[in-house]
Amino acid sequence: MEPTLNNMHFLWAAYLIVAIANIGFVWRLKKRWNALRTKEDHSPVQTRE
Amino acid sequence: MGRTFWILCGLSLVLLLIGTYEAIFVAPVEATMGSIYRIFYWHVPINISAEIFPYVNLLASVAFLFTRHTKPALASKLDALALATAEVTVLYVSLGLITGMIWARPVWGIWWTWDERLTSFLLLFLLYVSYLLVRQFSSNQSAIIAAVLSVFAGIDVPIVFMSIRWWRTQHPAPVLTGDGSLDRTMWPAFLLNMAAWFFWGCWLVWARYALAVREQEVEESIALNVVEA
Repeated sequence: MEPTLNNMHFLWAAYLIVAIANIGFVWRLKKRWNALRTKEDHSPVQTRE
Repeated sequence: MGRTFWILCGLSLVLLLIGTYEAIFVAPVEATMGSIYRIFYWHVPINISAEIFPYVNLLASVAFLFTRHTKPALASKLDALALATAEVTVLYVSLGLITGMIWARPVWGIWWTWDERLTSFLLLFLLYVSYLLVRQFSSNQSAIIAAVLSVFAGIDVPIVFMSIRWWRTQHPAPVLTGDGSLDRTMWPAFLLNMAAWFFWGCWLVWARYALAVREQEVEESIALNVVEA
C-alpha cells in the first residue's frame, strides 16, 4: 500500500522545535550558572564543596 | 561537575545522533502514514520519560515533607531534586504535546482533540507549570505547597498511562505492547531514541539539581554572613 501522507515539513518542524527547546533549556542553565558565579565573586560567601 | 556527569552528557548526545539517523534514514516508511510517522521516534520516548520524571519528583517531594524537620540538610537536597525533575517534566511534557499536535495535523486533519489521553497529558503539563509558579512566586512556604501539589500531579500520571487502555480514544492504542505492535524493523530506532531521550533527561535533571544545590548554598552563606555582620 502506498503512503497517503508525506508531509516531511511537519516532521522537520517537530524535530527542529524539540532541538531548539532543549538547546534553550541548556543555555538557560548555563546562564544561571554564570549569574551564580558572578554573585559568588561579588559577595563574601563560602560554599561547601 | 564530576566525570560521570560529562560521560552521561556525551553518551546521550551520541545516542541522540545515532537514534535520529536511524529514525530518519534507516527505519522503514510506515505503510499508511508515510514518513510523518517518524515523529513517533522522538514523541514516544519523550512522553515515556515525561511519565517517569514525575515519579522521581513525587518520591523526592514526599521524602522532603517527611525529613524537613528531622534532617534539614537531606531535605534541602530532596527539594532541589524535586525542583529539577519538575522543570525537566515541564520541558518534556510540553515537547510531547507539541510533537503530538504536529503529527496529528496531517494525520487526523486537526491539531487537537479533547480525548482522554490528550486531556490528561495537558492536565499533567498544567499541574507542573503550577508547581513551578508556586516555587517562583509563593513566599516562605513554597517548597511545602509545591511538594503537596506534586502528589496530585503524581496521581495524574497513571491516568495518562492507562487512558488509551481504559477508554476508546482518538489517540492511537498502545503501539509497543498492544495489538498493532511495532514492526521488528522499527525497534532498533525506537530503543536507541528511548535510551537517548531518557539519558538526556537524566543529564538535564542532574545539571538542574547541581545548580539548585549551589543556589541553596549561596543563599545560606549570604544569610549567615548577614547574621554574623
